[in-house]
Amino acid sequence: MGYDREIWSVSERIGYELRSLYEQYGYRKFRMGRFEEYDFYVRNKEYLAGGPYITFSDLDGKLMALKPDITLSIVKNTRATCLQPEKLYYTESVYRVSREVREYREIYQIGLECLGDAGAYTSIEMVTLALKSLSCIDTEYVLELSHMCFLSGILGPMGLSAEAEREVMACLAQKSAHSLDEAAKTYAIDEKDLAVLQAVVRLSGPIEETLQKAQALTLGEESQRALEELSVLSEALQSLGIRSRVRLDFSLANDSRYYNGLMFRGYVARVPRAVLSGGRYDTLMARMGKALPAIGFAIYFDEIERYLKKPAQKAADTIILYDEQSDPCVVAQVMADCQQRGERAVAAPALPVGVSAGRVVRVLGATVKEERI
Amino acid sequence: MISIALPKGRMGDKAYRLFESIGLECRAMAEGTRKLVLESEQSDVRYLLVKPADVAIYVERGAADIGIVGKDILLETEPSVYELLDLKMGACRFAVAAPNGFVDDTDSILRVATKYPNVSKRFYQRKNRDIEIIKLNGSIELAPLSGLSDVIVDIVETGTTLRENNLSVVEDVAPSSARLIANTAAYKFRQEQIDEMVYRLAEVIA
Repeated sequence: MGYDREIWSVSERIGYELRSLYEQYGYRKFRMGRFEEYDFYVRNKEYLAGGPYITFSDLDGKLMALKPDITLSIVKNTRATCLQPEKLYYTESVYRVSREVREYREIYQIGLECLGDAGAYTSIEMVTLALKSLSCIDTEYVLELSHMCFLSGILGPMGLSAEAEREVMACLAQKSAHSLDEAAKTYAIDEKDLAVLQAVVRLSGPIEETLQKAQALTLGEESQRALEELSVLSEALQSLGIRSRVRLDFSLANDSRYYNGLMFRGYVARVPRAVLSGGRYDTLMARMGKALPAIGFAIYFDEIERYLKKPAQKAADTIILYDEQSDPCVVAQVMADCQQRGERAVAAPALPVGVSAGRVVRVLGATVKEERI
Repeated sequence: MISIALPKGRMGDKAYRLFESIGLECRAMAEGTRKLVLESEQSDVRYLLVKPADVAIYVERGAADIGIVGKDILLETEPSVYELLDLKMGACRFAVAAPNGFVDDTDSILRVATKYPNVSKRFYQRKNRDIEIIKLNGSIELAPLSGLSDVIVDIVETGTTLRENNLSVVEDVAPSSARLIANTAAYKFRQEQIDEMVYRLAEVIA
Protein backbone atom coordinates (compact mmCIF):
# COMPACT_ATOMS: atom_id res chain seq x y z
CA MET A 1 0.00 0.00 0.00
CA GLY A 2 1.31 3.45 -0.91
CA TYR A 3 1.27 6.27 1.60
CA ASP A 4 0.79 9.97 1.58
CA ARG A 5 4.00 11.83 2.46
CA GLU A 6 1.91 14.86 3.38
CA ILE A 7 1.06 13.18 6.68
CA TRP A 8 4.71 13.25 7.78
CA SER A 9 5.51 15.73 10.51
CA VAL A 10 8.41 18.11 9.84
CA SER A 11 10.79 16.02 11.98
CA GLU A 12 9.77 12.80 10.28
CA ARG A 13 10.42 14.26 6.84
CA ILE A 14 13.76 15.74 7.88
CA GLY A 15 14.65 12.52 9.70
CA TYR A 16 14.16 10.36 6.59
CA GLU A 17 15.99 12.83 4.34
CA LEU A 18 18.97 12.97 6.70
CA ARG A 19 19.13 9.20 7.07
CA SER A 20 19.21 8.71 3.34
CA LEU A 21 21.86 11.45 3.00
CA TYR A 22 24.12 9.81 5.61
CA GLU A 23 23.65 6.34 4.11
CA GLN A 24 24.70 7.77 0.72
CA TYR A 25 27.98 8.89 2.27
CA GLY A 26 28.61 5.43 3.74
CA TYR A 27 27.58 6.08 7.37
CA ARG A 28 26.04 3.15 9.22
CA LYS A 29 23.11 3.46 11.60
CA PHE A 30 24.05 2.86 15.20
CA ARG A 31 21.26 1.85 17.53
CA MET A 32 21.65 1.75 21.26
CA GLY A 33 19.72 1.18 24.45
CA ARG A 34 17.87 3.97 26.21
CA PHE A 35 19.92 3.85 29.41
CA GLU A 36 23.42 3.50 30.81
CA GLU A 37 24.79 3.00 34.30
CA TYR A 38 24.44 6.26 36.20
CA ASP A 39 28.04 5.94 37.39
CA PHE A 40 29.23 6.30 33.76
CA TYR A 41 27.75 9.82 33.62
CA VAL A 42 29.03 10.77 37.04
CA ARG A 43 32.58 9.84 36.02
CA ASN A 44 32.31 11.89 32.83
CA LYS A 45 30.11 14.72 34.01
CA GLU A 46 32.44 17.43 32.77
CA TYR A 47 31.55 16.37 29.20
CA LEU A 48 27.84 16.65 29.78
CA ALA A 49 25.32 19.46 29.87
CA GLY A 50 24.22 19.92 33.47
CA GLY A 51 22.28 17.24 35.35
CA PRO A 52 20.39 15.97 37.21
CA TYR A 53 19.51 12.92 35.13
CA ILE A 54 16.49 10.65 35.31
CA THR A 55 17.60 7.63 37.31
CA PHE A 56 16.09 4.31 38.36
CA SER A 57 17.30 0.99 39.80
CA ASP A 58 17.47 -2.02 37.52
CA LEU A 59 16.51 -5.52 38.64
CA ASP A 60 19.94 -6.07 40.25
CA GLY A 61 19.68 -2.84 42.20
CA LYS A 62 22.18 -1.05 39.93
CA LEU A 63 21.48 2.65 39.50
CA MET A 64 20.75 3.45 35.85
CA ALA A 65 20.09 6.72 34.00
CA LEU A 66 18.10 7.54 30.90
CA LYS A 67 20.69 8.76 28.37
CA PRO A 68 21.44 12.49 28.62
CA ASP A 69 24.03 12.15 25.81
CA ILE A 70 24.72 9.85 22.87
CA THR A 71 28.32 10.60 21.86
CA LEU A 72 29.73 9.37 25.19
CA SER A 73 28.09 5.97 24.68
CA ILE A 74 29.32 5.76 21.08
CA VAL A 75 32.87 6.61 22.13
CA LYS A 76 32.73 4.03 24.91
CA ASN A 77 31.63 1.28 22.54
CA THR A 78 33.61 2.08 19.40
CA ARG A 79 36.01 -0.46 17.94
CA ALA A 80 37.48 2.07 15.52
CA THR A 81 41.20 2.16 14.81
CA CYS A 82 43.29 4.55 12.71
CA LEU A 83 43.20 2.11 9.82
CA GLN A 84 39.57 1.16 10.27
CA PRO A 85 37.69 4.32 11.25
CA GLU A 86 34.01 3.99 12.05
CA LYS A 87 31.43 6.20 10.36
CA LEU A 88 28.16 6.11 12.25
CA TYR A 89 24.91 7.98 12.54
CA TYR A 90 22.17 7.69 15.11
CA THR A 91 18.58 8.79 15.61
CA GLU A 92 17.93 8.75 19.34
CA SER A 93 16.27 10.67 22.16
CA VAL A 94 18.19 12.15 25.07
CA TYR A 95 16.69 13.19 28.40
CA ARG A 96 17.88 16.43 29.92
CA VAL A 97 16.71 19.24 32.13
CA SER A 98 15.51 22.16 30.05
CA ARG A 99 17.35 25.30 31.11
CA GLU A 100 14.33 27.57 30.72
CA VAL A 101 11.59 25.63 32.43
CA ARG A 102 13.63 23.46 34.84
CA GLU A 103 11.81 20.33 33.73
CA TYR A 104 12.98 17.10 32.15
CA ARG A 105 12.64 17.07 28.39
CA GLU A 106 12.95 14.32 25.83
CA ILE A 107 15.01 15.76 22.99
CA TYR A 108 15.17 13.93 19.70
CA GLN A 109 18.58 14.04 18.06
CA ILE A 110 20.11 12.88 14.83
CA GLY A 111 23.88 12.82 14.82
CA LEU A 112 26.86 11.79 12.81
CA GLU A 113 30.25 10.63 14.10
CA CYS A 114 33.50 9.66 12.42
CA LEU A 115 35.77 7.91 14.91
CA GLY A 116 39.40 7.13 14.12
CA ASP A 117 39.88 9.82 11.49
CA ALA A 118 39.43 13.57 11.65
CA GLY A 119 41.96 14.60 9.02
CA ALA A 120 41.57 17.21 6.31
CA TYR A 121 39.33 15.11 4.07
CA THR A 122 37.07 13.98 6.93
CA SER A 123 36.67 17.59 8.08
CA ILE A 124 35.57 18.57 4.57
CA GLU A 125 33.12 15.66 4.50
CA MET A 126 31.70 16.57 7.93
CA VAL A 127 31.23 20.23 7.00
CA THR A 128 29.67 19.23 3.66
CA LEU A 129 27.24 16.92 5.44
CA ALA A 130 26.45 19.59 8.03
CA LEU A 131 25.62 22.03 5.21
CA LYS A 132 23.51 19.46 3.36
CA SER A 133 21.73 18.57 6.62
CA LEU A 134 20.84 22.23 7.19
CA SER A 135 19.50 22.50 3.65
CA CYS A 136 17.14 19.58 4.42
CA ILE A 137 15.76 21.59 7.37
CA ASP A 138 15.17 24.98 5.76
CA THR A 139 16.04 26.90 2.62
CA GLU A 140 17.78 29.75 4.45
CA TYR A 141 20.67 28.53 6.60
CA VAL A 142 24.25 29.27 7.66
CA LEU A 143 27.02 27.15 9.11
CA GLU A 144 29.40 28.89 11.45
CA LEU A 145 32.94 27.57 11.87
CA SER A 146 35.54 28.17 14.52
CA HIS A 147 38.71 26.50 15.74
CA MET A 148 39.55 25.92 19.38
CA CYS A 149 43.32 26.12 18.73
CA PHE A 150 43.02 29.62 17.27
CA LEU A 151 41.82 30.95 20.63
CA SER A 152 43.98 28.74 22.83
CA GLY A 153 46.98 29.91 20.76
CA ILE A 154 46.06 33.49 21.62
CA LEU A 155 45.03 33.05 25.26
CA GLY A 156 47.80 30.59 26.23
CA PRO A 157 50.75 32.99 25.93
CA MET A 158 48.81 35.72 27.82
CA GLY A 159 49.23 33.64 30.99
CA LEU A 160 45.84 34.59 32.44
CA SER A 161 44.52 33.01 35.62
CA ALA A 162 41.80 30.38 35.16
CA GLU A 163 39.18 32.88 36.38
CA ALA A 164 40.39 35.63 34.04
CA GLU A 165 40.43 33.23 31.09
CA ARG A 166 36.88 32.14 31.86
CA GLU A 167 35.77 35.77 31.97
CA VAL A 168 37.53 36.60 28.68
CA MET A 169 35.96 33.56 26.99
CA ALA A 170 32.54 34.68 28.26
CA CYS A 171 33.09 38.19 26.81
CA LEU A 172 34.13 36.70 23.46
CA ALA A 173 31.13 34.33 23.45
CA GLN A 174 28.83 37.33 24.01
CA LYS A 175 30.65 39.42 21.36
CA SER A 176 30.95 42.02 24.05
CA ALA A 177 33.80 44.43 23.35
CA HIS A 178 32.86 46.71 26.28
CA SER A 179 32.91 43.78 28.73
CA LEU A 180 36.43 42.92 27.52
CA ASP A 181 37.51 46.44 28.53
CA GLU A 182 36.07 45.87 32.01
CA ALA A 183 37.69 42.42 32.28
CA ALA A 184 41.03 43.93 31.24
CA LYS A 185 40.77 46.39 34.13
CA THR A 186 39.72 43.73 36.66
CA TYR A 187 42.39 41.20 35.69
CA ALA A 188 45.17 43.64 34.69
CA ILE A 189 45.36 42.42 31.08
CA ASP A 190 47.98 44.52 29.30
CA GLU A 191 47.11 46.87 26.44
CA LYS A 192 48.73 44.82 23.70
CA ASP A 193 46.83 41.68 24.69
CA LEU A 194 43.58 43.63 25.03
CA ALA A 195 44.03 45.02 21.50
CA VAL A 196 44.35 41.44 20.15
CA LEU A 197 41.24 40.34 22.08
CA GLN A 198 39.33 43.38 20.79
CA ALA A 199 40.26 42.36 17.24
CA VAL A 200 39.22 38.73 17.88
CA VAL A 201 35.80 39.73 19.28
CA ARG A 202 35.05 41.37 15.93
CA LEU A 203 36.21 38.42 13.80
CA SER A 204 32.95 37.22 12.39
CA GLY A 205 31.53 37.10 8.89
CA PRO A 206 31.88 35.30 5.57
CA ILE A 207 34.71 32.76 5.86
CA GLU A 208 37.13 34.09 3.23
CA GLU A 209 36.93 37.72 4.31
CA THR A 210 37.18 36.82 8.01
CA LEU A 211 40.13 34.49 7.44
CA GLN A 212 42.00 37.35 5.76
CA LYS A 213 41.29 39.63 8.74
CA ALA A 214 42.49 36.91 11.15
CA GLN A 215 45.65 36.32 9.13
CA ALA A 216 46.47 40.02 9.40
CA LEU A 217 46.87 39.66 13.19
CA THR A 218 50.22 38.82 14.72
CA LEU A 219 49.72 35.29 15.90
CA GLY A 220 51.61 32.43 17.48
CA GLU A 221 52.27 29.10 15.83
CA GLU A 222 49.22 27.30 17.24
CA SER A 223 46.80 29.97 15.98
CA GLN A 224 48.52 30.06 12.59
CA ARG A 225 48.13 26.30 12.23
CA ALA A 226 44.43 26.60 13.04
CA LEU A 227 44.02 29.27 10.35
CA GLU A 228 45.88 27.11 7.82
CA GLU A 229 43.50 24.23 8.56
CA LEU A 230 40.54 26.57 8.07
CA SER A 231 42.05 27.87 4.79
CA VAL A 232 42.31 24.35 3.35
CA LEU A 233 38.72 23.73 4.34
CA SER A 234 37.59 27.05 2.88
CA GLU A 235 39.23 26.32 -0.48
CA ALA A 236 37.68 22.85 -0.64
CA LEU A 237 34.23 24.26 0.10
CA GLN A 238 34.75 26.90 -2.57
CA SER A 239 35.66 24.30 -5.19
CA LEU A 240 32.59 22.27 -4.21
CA GLY A 241 30.50 25.42 -4.68
CA ILE A 242 29.08 25.38 -1.14
CA ARG A 243 31.12 28.11 0.58
CA SER A 244 28.63 30.98 0.40
CA ARG A 245 26.67 29.74 3.44
CA VAL A 246 29.75 29.27 5.61
CA ARG A 247 30.83 31.89 8.13
CA LEU A 248 33.73 32.12 10.47
CA ASP A 249 33.09 33.29 14.01
CA PHE A 250 35.61 32.97 16.81
CA SER A 251 33.03 33.78 19.47
CA LEU A 252 32.11 30.13 19.05
CA ALA A 253 34.61 28.60 21.47
CA ASN A 254 32.65 27.82 24.54
CA ASP A 255 33.56 24.25 25.32
CA SER A 256 37.25 23.50 25.48
CA ARG A 257 36.63 20.37 27.56
CA TYR A 258 34.69 18.74 24.76
CA TYR A 259 36.15 20.14 21.55
CA ASN A 260 39.82 20.55 20.67
CA GLY A 261 39.95 21.60 17.00
CA LEU A 262 37.43 22.52 14.33
CA MET A 263 34.01 23.46 15.76
CA PHE A 264 30.80 24.29 13.99
CA ARG A 265 27.28 25.36 14.63
CA GLY A 266 24.36 25.56 12.22
CA TYR A 267 21.43 27.96 12.10
CA VAL A 268 18.28 28.12 9.98
CA ALA A 269 16.45 31.41 9.56
CA ARG A 270 13.16 30.42 11.14
CA VAL A 271 14.64 29.00 14.36
CA PRO A 272 16.08 31.48 16.88
CA ARG A 273 18.79 29.13 18.20
CA ALA A 274 21.45 26.85 16.78
CA VAL A 275 19.94 23.60 15.49
CA LEU A 276 23.22 21.86 14.71
CA SER A 277 26.34 21.69 16.78
CA GLY A 278 29.55 19.71 16.47
CA GLY A 279 33.30 19.57 16.17
CA ARG A 280 36.44 17.60 16.76
CA TYR A 281 36.64 15.85 20.11
CA ASP A 282 39.97 13.98 20.46
CA THR A 283 40.14 14.99 24.16
CA LEU A 284 36.93 13.14 24.94
CA MET A 285 38.24 10.08 23.05
CA ALA A 286 41.48 10.18 25.07
CA ARG A 287 39.51 10.46 28.30
CA MET A 288 37.71 7.23 27.38
CA GLY A 289 41.06 5.52 26.77
CA LYS A 290 40.96 5.76 22.97
CA ALA A 291 43.88 7.69 21.58
CA LEU A 292 42.13 8.39 18.30
CA PRO A 293 40.88 11.49 16.54
CA ALA A 294 37.13 11.90 16.14
CA ILE A 295 34.70 14.46 14.74
CA GLY A 296 30.93 14.64 14.63
CA PHE A 297 27.80 16.72 14.97
CA ALA A 298 24.23 16.46 16.19
CA ILE A 299 20.98 18.08 15.12
CA TYR A 300 18.50 18.93 17.87
CA PHE A 301 14.88 18.51 16.96
CA ASP A 302 13.25 20.22 19.96
CA GLU A 303 13.81 23.67 18.46
CA ILE A 304 13.00 22.53 14.93
CA GLU A 305 9.69 21.01 15.99
CA ARG A 306 8.72 24.13 17.90
CA TYR A 307 9.32 26.62 15.10
CA LEU A 308 8.84 24.72 11.84
CA LYS A 309 5.67 22.84 12.60
CA LYS A 310 3.09 22.53 9.86
CA PRO A 311 -0.44 23.82 10.44
CA ALA A 312 -2.53 20.96 11.80
CA GLN A 313 -4.06 19.20 8.83
CA LYS A 314 -7.79 19.10 9.23
CA ALA A 315 -9.17 18.66 5.75
CA ALA A 316 -11.03 15.55 4.59
CA ASP A 317 -12.21 14.71 1.11
CA THR A 318 -15.41 13.12 2.40
CA ILE A 319 -17.29 13.16 5.70
CA ILE A 320 -19.67 10.23 6.12
CA LEU A 321 -22.43 10.97 8.65
CA TYR A 322 -24.39 8.16 10.26
CA ASP A 323 -26.83 7.71 13.15
CA GLU A 324 -28.43 4.82 15.05
CA GLN A 325 -30.74 4.00 12.15
CA SER A 326 -27.93 3.85 9.57
CA ASP A 327 -27.06 0.44 8.16
CA PRO A 328 -23.45 -0.15 9.37
CA CYS A 329 -22.67 -2.29 6.32
CA VAL A 330 -23.62 0.61 4.03
CA VAL A 331 -21.46 3.02 6.06
CA ALA A 332 -18.56 0.55 5.79
CA GLN A 333 -19.13 0.22 2.02
CA VAL A 334 -19.14 4.02 1.51
CA MET A 335 -15.89 4.21 3.49
CA ALA A 336 -14.38 1.38 1.42
CA ASP A 337 -15.34 3.19 -1.82
CA CYS A 338 -13.66 6.38 -0.58
CA GLN A 339 -10.49 4.43 0.30
CA GLN A 340 -10.58 2.78 -3.12
CA ARG A 341 -10.49 6.25 -4.70
CA GLY A 342 -7.54 7.20 -2.46
CA GLU A 343 -9.57 9.77 -0.55
CA ARG A 344 -9.15 10.90 3.04
CA ALA A 345 -12.52 10.17 4.68
CA VAL A 346 -13.96 10.54 8.18
CA ALA A 347 -17.02 8.58 9.40
CA ALA A 348 -18.75 10.31 12.32
CA PRO A 349 -22.20 10.72 13.89
CA ALA A 350 -21.96 14.54 13.57
CA LEU A 351 -19.83 16.99 11.60
CA PRO A 352 -16.41 16.91 13.32
CA VAL A 353 -15.42 20.32 14.73
CA GLY A 354 -12.78 22.18 12.74
CA VAL A 355 -12.59 19.68 9.86
CA SER A 356 -13.32 21.02 6.40
CA ALA A 357 -14.52 18.58 3.76
CA GLY A 358 -14.85 18.39 -0.01
CA ARG A 359 -18.23 16.68 0.34
CA VAL A 360 -20.53 15.36 3.06
CA VAL A 361 -22.71 12.26 2.66
CA ARG A 362 -25.33 11.00 5.11
CA VAL A 363 -26.30 7.35 5.43
CA LEU A 364 -30.06 7.19 6.12
CA GLY A 365 -31.07 3.58 6.79
CA ALA A 366 -29.60 1.85 3.76
CA THR A 367 -29.54 4.85 1.41
CA VAL A 368 -26.73 7.32 0.85
CA LYS A 369 -27.61 10.96 0.40
CA GLU A 370 -25.26 13.75 -0.56
CA GLU A 371 -25.61 16.79 1.72
CA ARG A 372 -24.93 20.39 0.88
CA ILE A 373 -22.03 21.87 2.83
CA MET B 1 12.69 43.99 8.92
CA ILE B 2 14.48 44.20 12.27
CA SER B 3 12.40 43.88 15.46
CA ILE B 4 13.64 45.89 18.42
CA ALA B 5 12.36 45.11 21.93
CA LEU B 6 12.32 48.25 24.07
CA PRO B 7 11.63 48.28 27.81
CA LYS B 8 8.53 50.30 28.67
CA GLY B 9 9.37 53.32 30.79
CA ARG B 10 12.18 55.81 31.17
CA MET B 11 14.99 53.64 29.87
CA GLY B 12 12.94 52.63 26.83
CA ASP B 13 12.09 56.28 26.03
CA LYS B 14 15.76 57.24 26.22
CA ALA B 15 16.77 54.24 24.11
CA TYR B 16 14.15 55.11 21.50
CA ARG B 17 15.58 58.62 21.24
CA LEU B 18 18.96 57.05 20.48
CA PHE B 19 17.47 54.95 17.69
CA GLU B 20 15.63 58.04 16.45
CA SER B 21 18.92 59.93 16.30
CA ILE B 22 20.35 57.36 13.88
CA GLY B 23 17.31 57.66 11.60
CA LEU B 24 15.11 54.84 12.90
CA GLU B 25 12.24 57.07 13.92
CA CYS B 26 8.66 55.88 14.26
CA ARG B 27 5.96 58.55 14.37
CA ALA B 28 3.61 56.46 16.52
CA MET B 29 6.23 56.29 19.30
CA ALA B 30 6.33 60.06 19.59
CA GLU B 31 2.54 60.22 19.68
CA GLY B 32 2.46 58.21 22.89
CA THR B 33 0.11 55.51 21.66
CA ARG B 34 -0.96 52.50 23.71
CA LYS B 35 -0.05 50.10 20.93
CA LEU B 36 2.58 47.49 21.81
CA VAL B 37 3.88 46.89 18.27
CA LEU B 38 4.92 50.00 16.37
CA GLU B 39 6.21 49.94 12.83
CA SER B 40 8.41 52.67 11.49
CA GLU B 41 7.13 54.26 8.30
CA GLN B 42 10.54 55.50 7.18
CA SER B 43 12.83 52.60 7.98
CA ASP B 44 12.74 48.85 8.04
CA VAL B 45 12.31 48.40 11.80
CA ARG B 46 9.52 47.75 14.23
CA TYR B 47 9.50 48.34 17.96
CA LEU B 48 7.98 45.98 20.53
CA LEU B 49 7.22 47.56 23.89
CA VAL B 50 7.67 45.02 26.68
CA LYS B 51 8.20 44.89 30.43
CA PRO B 52 11.88 45.63 31.18
CA ALA B 53 12.45 42.23 32.77
CA ASP B 54 11.04 40.48 29.68
CA VAL B 55 13.23 42.08 26.99
CA ALA B 56 15.92 39.39 27.25
CA ILE B 57 13.32 36.63 26.92
CA TYR B 58 11.90 38.19 23.74
CA VAL B 59 15.37 38.44 22.24
CA GLU B 60 16.66 35.05 23.39
CA ARG B 61 13.62 33.32 21.91
CA GLY B 62 13.77 35.28 18.68
CA ALA B 63 10.48 37.22 18.99
CA ALA B 64 12.71 40.31 18.70
CA ASP B 65 16.07 40.47 16.88
CA ILE B 66 17.65 43.00 19.20
CA GLY B 67 16.67 44.65 22.46
CA ILE B 68 17.66 47.12 25.14
CA VAL B 69 17.98 45.72 28.64
CA GLY B 70 19.67 46.56 31.94
CA LYS B 71 22.85 44.65 32.75
CA ASP B 72 21.23 43.82 36.13
CA ILE B 73 18.66 41.66 34.34
CA LEU B 74 21.32 40.04 32.14
CA LEU B 75 23.39 39.17 35.22
CA GLU B 76 20.36 37.68 36.96
CA THR B 77 18.91 35.65 34.07
CA GLU B 78 22.08 34.91 32.02
CA PRO B 79 20.24 34.62 28.71
CA SER B 80 22.06 33.16 25.74
CA VAL B 81 22.33 36.34 23.63
CA TYR B 82 25.07 38.59 22.24
CA GLU B 83 25.70 41.71 24.33
CA LEU B 84 26.92 44.07 21.63
CA LEU B 85 27.00 47.54 23.17
CA ASP B 86 26.99 49.39 26.49
CA LEU B 87 24.62 52.33 25.93
CA LYS B 88 26.04 53.98 29.07
CA MET B 89 22.63 55.14 30.26
CA GLY B 90 20.51 54.08 33.21
CA ALA B 91 23.77 53.63 35.11
CA CYS B 92 23.46 52.14 38.58
CA ARG B 93 25.14 49.44 40.62
CA PHE B 94 24.35 46.23 42.39
CA ALA B 95 25.26 46.61 46.04
CA VAL B 96 24.90 44.95 49.41
CA ALA B 97 23.21 47.31 51.85
CA ALA B 98 22.51 46.97 55.57
CA PRO B 99 21.26 49.08 58.50
CA ASN B 100 23.81 51.78 59.44
CA GLY B 101 26.47 50.38 61.73
CA PHE B 102 25.89 46.77 60.62
CA VAL B 103 28.68 44.31 61.48
CA ASP B 104 28.63 40.93 59.71
CA ASP B 105 28.70 38.04 62.16
CA THR B 106 30.66 35.54 60.05
CA ASP B 107 29.85 32.75 62.50
CA SER B 108 26.22 32.64 61.38
CA ILE B 109 24.32 32.22 58.13
CA LEU B 110 23.74 35.63 56.52
CA ARG B 111 20.11 36.28 55.58
CA VAL B 112 19.98 38.15 52.28
CA ALA B 113 16.75 39.69 50.96
CA THR B 114 16.76 40.42 47.23
CA LYS B 115 14.93 40.54 43.93
CA TYR B 116 18.06 39.04 42.36
CA PRO B 117 18.66 35.59 43.91
CA ASN B 118 21.13 34.38 41.25
CA VAL B 119 23.35 37.45 41.39
CA SER B 120 23.36 37.27 45.20
CA LYS B 121 24.08 33.54 45.27
CA ARG B 122 27.03 33.89 42.87
CA PHE B 123 28.46 36.89 44.74
CA TYR B 124 28.50 35.13 48.11
CA GLN B 125 29.62 31.80 46.62
CA ARG B 126 32.77 33.50 45.38
CA LYS B 127 33.36 34.79 48.92
CA ASN B 128 32.61 31.36 50.37
CA ARG B 129 29.99 32.90 52.64
CA ASP B 130 27.08 30.78 53.79
CA ILE B 131 23.81 32.62 53.08
CA GLU B 132 20.07 32.18 53.05
CA ILE B 133 18.30 33.90 50.19
CA ILE B 134 14.94 35.53 50.85
CA LYS B 135 13.38 36.30 47.47
CA LEU B 136 11.22 39.42 47.56
CA ASN B 137 9.39 41.26 44.79
CA GLY B 138 9.56 44.87 45.98
CA SER B 139 10.30 47.24 48.90
CA ILE B 140 13.48 45.30 49.56
CA GLU B 141 14.68 48.00 51.99
CA LEU B 142 11.98 46.99 54.43
CA ALA B 143 13.50 43.53 54.98
CA PRO B 144 16.44 44.44 57.27
CA LEU B 145 14.38 47.14 59.02
CA SER B 146 11.70 44.64 59.99
CA GLY B 147 14.16 41.88 60.94
CA LEU B 148 13.29 39.73 57.92
CA SER B 149 16.90 39.76 56.73
CA ASP B 150 20.38 40.91 57.78
CA VAL B 151 21.27 42.62 54.50
CA ILE B 152 19.81 43.27 51.05
CA VAL B 153 21.31 42.94 47.57
CA ASP B 154 19.69 45.48 45.29
CA ILE B 155 20.14 48.11 42.60
CA VAL B 156 21.34 51.44 43.93
CA GLU B 157 21.05 54.56 41.78
CA THR B 158 21.40 57.67 43.94
CA GLY B 159 21.22 56.02 47.36
CA THR B 160 18.39 58.31 48.54
CA THR B 161 15.99 55.49 49.44
CA LEU B 162 18.75 53.79 51.42
CA ARG B 163 19.63 56.98 53.32
CA GLU B 164 16.01 57.75 54.13
CA ASN B 165 15.65 54.30 55.64
CA ASN B 166 18.88 54.41 57.67
CA LEU B 167 20.59 51.91 55.41
CA SER B 168 23.98 52.20 53.75
CA VAL B 169 26.01 50.35 51.15
CA VAL B 170 28.34 47.77 52.68
CA GLU B 171 29.85 46.33 49.49
CA ASP B 172 29.59 46.81 45.73
CA VAL B 173 28.61 43.75 43.71
CA ALA B 174 28.65 44.87 40.05
CA PRO B 175 27.95 47.95 37.96
CA SER B 176 24.94 48.05 35.63
CA SER B 177 23.70 50.13 32.69
CA ALA B 178 21.57 49.63 29.58
CA ARG B 179 22.93 47.16 27.02
CA LEU B 180 22.05 46.37 23.43
CA ILE B 181 21.57 42.64 23.00
CA ALA B 182 20.97 40.52 19.90
CA ASN B 183 19.50 37.12 19.21
CA THR B 184 22.34 34.78 18.21
CA ALA B 185 20.60 33.32 15.15
CA ALA B 186 19.22 36.67 13.95
CA TYR B 187 22.78 38.03 14.12
CA LYS B 188 23.98 35.33 11.68
CA PHE B 189 21.39 36.31 9.10
CA ARG B 190 21.43 40.10 9.59
CA GLN B 191 24.95 40.81 10.77
CA GLU B 192 25.56 43.71 8.40
CA GLN B 193 22.40 45.57 9.42
CA ILE B 194 22.93 44.96 13.14
CA ASP B 195 26.65 45.84 13.04
CA GLU B 196 25.84 49.06 11.18
CA MET B 197 23.24 49.96 13.80
CA VAL B 198 25.65 49.23 16.66
CA TYR B 199 28.40 51.26 14.97
CA ARG B 200 26.15 54.30 14.55
CA LEU B 201 24.76 54.07 18.08
CA ALA B 202 28.30 53.82 19.44
CA GLU B 203 29.20 57.01 17.55
CA VAL B 204 26.20 58.86 19.02
CA ILE B 205 26.97 57.91 22.63
CA ALA B 206 30.75 58.38 22.34
